[in-house]
Amino acid sequence: MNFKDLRIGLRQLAADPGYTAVVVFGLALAAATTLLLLAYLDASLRGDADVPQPQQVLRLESKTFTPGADKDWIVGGAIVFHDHWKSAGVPVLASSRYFTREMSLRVGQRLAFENIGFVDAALVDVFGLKPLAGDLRATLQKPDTVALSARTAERLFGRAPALGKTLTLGGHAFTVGAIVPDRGTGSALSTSVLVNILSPAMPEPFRLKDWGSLRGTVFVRLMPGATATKFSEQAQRYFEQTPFYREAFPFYGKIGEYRGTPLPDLPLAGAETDTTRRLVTGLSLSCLVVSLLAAINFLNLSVVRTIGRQREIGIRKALGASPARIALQFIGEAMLVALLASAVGFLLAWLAAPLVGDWVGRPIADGLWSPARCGLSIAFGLALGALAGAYPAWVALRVDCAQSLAGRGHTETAVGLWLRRSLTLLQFATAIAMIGITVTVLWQTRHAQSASPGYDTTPLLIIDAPVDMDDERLRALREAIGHLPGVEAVGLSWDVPGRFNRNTTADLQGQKGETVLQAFSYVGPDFFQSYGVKPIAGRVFDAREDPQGYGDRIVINATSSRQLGFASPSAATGQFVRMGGQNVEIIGVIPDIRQRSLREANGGVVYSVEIGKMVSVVSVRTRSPAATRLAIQQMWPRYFPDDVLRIAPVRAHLARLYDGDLRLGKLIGAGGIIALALAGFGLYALSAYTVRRRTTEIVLRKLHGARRRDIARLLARELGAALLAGAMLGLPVAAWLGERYLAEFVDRAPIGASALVVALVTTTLVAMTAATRHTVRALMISPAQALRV
Amino acid sequence: MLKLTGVSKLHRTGDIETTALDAIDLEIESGEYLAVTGPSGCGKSTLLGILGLLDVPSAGQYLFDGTDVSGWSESRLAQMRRGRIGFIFQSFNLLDDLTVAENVALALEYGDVPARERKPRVEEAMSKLGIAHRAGHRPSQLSGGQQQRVAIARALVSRPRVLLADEPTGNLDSAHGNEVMRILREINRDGTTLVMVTHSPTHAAQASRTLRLLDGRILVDAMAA
Repeated sequence: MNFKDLRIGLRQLAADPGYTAVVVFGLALAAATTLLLLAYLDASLRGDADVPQPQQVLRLESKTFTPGADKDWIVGGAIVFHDHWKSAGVPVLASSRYFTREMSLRVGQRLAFENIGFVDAALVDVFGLKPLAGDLRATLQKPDTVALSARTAERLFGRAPALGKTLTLGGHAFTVGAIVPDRGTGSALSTSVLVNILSPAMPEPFRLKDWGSLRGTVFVRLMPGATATKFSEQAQRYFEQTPFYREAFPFYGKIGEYRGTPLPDLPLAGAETDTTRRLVTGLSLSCLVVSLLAAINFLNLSVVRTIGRQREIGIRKALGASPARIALQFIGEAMLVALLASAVGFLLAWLAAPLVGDWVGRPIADGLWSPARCGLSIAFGLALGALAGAYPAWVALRVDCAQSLAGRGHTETAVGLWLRRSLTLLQFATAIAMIGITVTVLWQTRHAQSASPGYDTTPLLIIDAPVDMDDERLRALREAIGHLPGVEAVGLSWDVPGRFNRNTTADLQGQKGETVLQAFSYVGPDFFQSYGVKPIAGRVFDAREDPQGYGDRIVINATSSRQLGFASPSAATGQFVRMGGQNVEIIGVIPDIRQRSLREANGGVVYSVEIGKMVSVVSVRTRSPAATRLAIQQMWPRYFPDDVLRIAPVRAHLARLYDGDLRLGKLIGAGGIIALALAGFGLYALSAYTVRRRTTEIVLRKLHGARRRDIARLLARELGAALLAGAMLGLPVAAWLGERYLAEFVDRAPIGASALVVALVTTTLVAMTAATRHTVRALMISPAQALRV
Repeated sequence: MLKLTGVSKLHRTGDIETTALDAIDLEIESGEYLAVTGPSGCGKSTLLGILGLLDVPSAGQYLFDGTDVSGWSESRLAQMRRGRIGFIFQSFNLLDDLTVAENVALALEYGDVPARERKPRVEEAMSKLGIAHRAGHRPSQLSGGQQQRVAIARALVSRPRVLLADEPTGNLDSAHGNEVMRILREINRDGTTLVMVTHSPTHAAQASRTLRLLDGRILVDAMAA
């Protein structure tokens, strides 16, 4: 092969822009998808690439078995472990507690809302952190100094050096003592502001000594030779010997499990990585499918083109071109096209990176322009070209020189033809399956986002309070909000039902004396009024009758009433039950309101007006949400001048539960659209080839009186067969995948066969569009003209 | 120079076997001008394909310039063809994606001719055929006669010892056809062995020897008077 050999190929590409666009764009999509996947993986998996011996760095993770708690591993554990490594016999070189909280920062007149990391100075040794400026270790040892990441420092202080400047955090003044490099988005250290964990700004200091708390975690660096498995065993064994565990065990059995996960495993195998894993799987599948479809398309179109170039091949052979040279020429041309496609793919990836970055929640654009990525892109192009060019080259080698030069061109073998038909139907099957599952995911997501949580979400605004429930300022704010026009009720609770980021459990004694574990929720006395939840028996809390801190009365939900063994909600009302060692009165029963996503069934919940030193949310029920929101924004600085107001409709909070599903749906949907487009191109090529191959037959049929609709039927039979076979293959796959996805939900959208119908209709329309041009061409063939050829 | 002994060629389509050539014995001397005639389907083009090493016999022996090429692989046949055999076709078989000069130069791309010699050789061939002024044109921009001249130039540029022409005037009007026949005679007079398949008795009569085929056999093998 030499450049002159490629010349014809290049000119043909230029002479047939339609073919070139289809092939290059198809392959470019495959290349772009692959590049974006790699960039995403890079952003997700290499956030802590600078940490020395990362396998020795572990994050403490836990799993709880109490009712209402997450069943999966969570990023968190008893941070009190930090004080007990030595007693537990764990060979730890360095250990740092890590507690994060989103808090407001004030710099002069400017307010910012940042994720703050409360840590020990030993974090420097655990992660091998090196400051860009200042003394990081000293900063993290002092209670009134703060370390900022370079980007955060610039955001807060502009281009002027931030070192030595002051800021206010949680009402306390801090001096910037160190600047650290920005960590990658996939880093286990997700905070860009680091503060000593014993500083006065630490929001919940009681957690530092609480074996039952799972908020916050511990990072450790193990001594050389120690392993994560051994660490996990030792931590668990020690935990089971603590008084906390031994007291709880008789009620709960094994209440929790601990493990240490090495830093390199955190992105995909660590706790709370379901969404990431689902995204990586989705991206990988999309990438694989798009690459496969693009290669099939390329192969199909190349073969059609090769068959059209028989005369050229015959001439070359007659002039002495060896089989190797012919094969190299065709493979070389294919590689050239694939390289061109890789370049376009790179451009597409670059253009799409910000959008895809938003979808997957990672800024992936930065990682695209590395030499490794460019090299990989070229290698991808060359490999795909060589692979997809091999079959057309084989077809070229089979061209009978004498026959083609005499104008009696042969086509590919029957096996080859069937192979390509099979590949085309595979394209359609894939497109149908992907469209089907996309419709299912998006439909279910929409259903979940709009599903009633058991209360009317329309008039509800939620304020994430920056202070504890019993803070005076919060009380004053609630009072003021209650006087705003249109406001019907203002409530307080530990969390938004349905968002439910926090877990706690209460043990109650059932009617038969058995212990019944229930999820426990702290609420203010106006909580139920603000959510518009009416009791189905008894009453709900009332500010006049149930002052805050009055913990001997509870409200339960209908499920709890059943689980406690009461015959009906009315039967439960007024009854006293044992809870946590004391008698409490059930003053009322409410209908179930959703505490989690639609993936989990409602469980029993106990509500108490226990108010403590815990951050809370304020729920505002109003007839005019927009006006109330504006009024709250205006009054907010009077009460919390150092905090950013975080106010949103409750629907926005609940919708966030399905962000991952929405992303997944969009991702598969994008893959489905690409797959559909590629399948359309594939059918376009097949129809072109079919018409070319059957031109003589069409002409002869016309000579014998066939009408246009007869010819159309003839072609529709062949192309329709590919579509039908694709549907037979793709629809069951779509149905199976859809069922698997929906199986995760306890409440499913009434999708039925609709997703499959949508997939089939969409694909059929695309197929008809793709086949139209050549079908019309076939209908217009003049018999006289064709027989002269 | 070319010697066929008992050469047969069978075509098989499914269960049906067709004999294109049936035990042909033929010897063509260097410098000869042989016209092959016969009705359609008598095996003319098959014979030309075998003589040009584009096809292989099903049976028999073929000595090309004294070398037995029977049973050779496609690669070896391709190597043997390079620079030794030129082809001219009824339908010209020019590549529309290449210019006239590039079409002519194509014949040198696979041989041993050094790159620096190619351009002068192409120019010489085009001048000889009177198409130098059309060097930058595409074949589709030329008349049929001009296209056949380009095809002849391409066949000659590698200076082959054998020129095989398959109905070279079949797609031309009589004026252009006569012009091509004149060129072919000149080429033969310069020493090139010429084998031409033709339907035209007039053109066949211009050859030094005429072969008439029927049903894959040689019916007549006559030297010109």
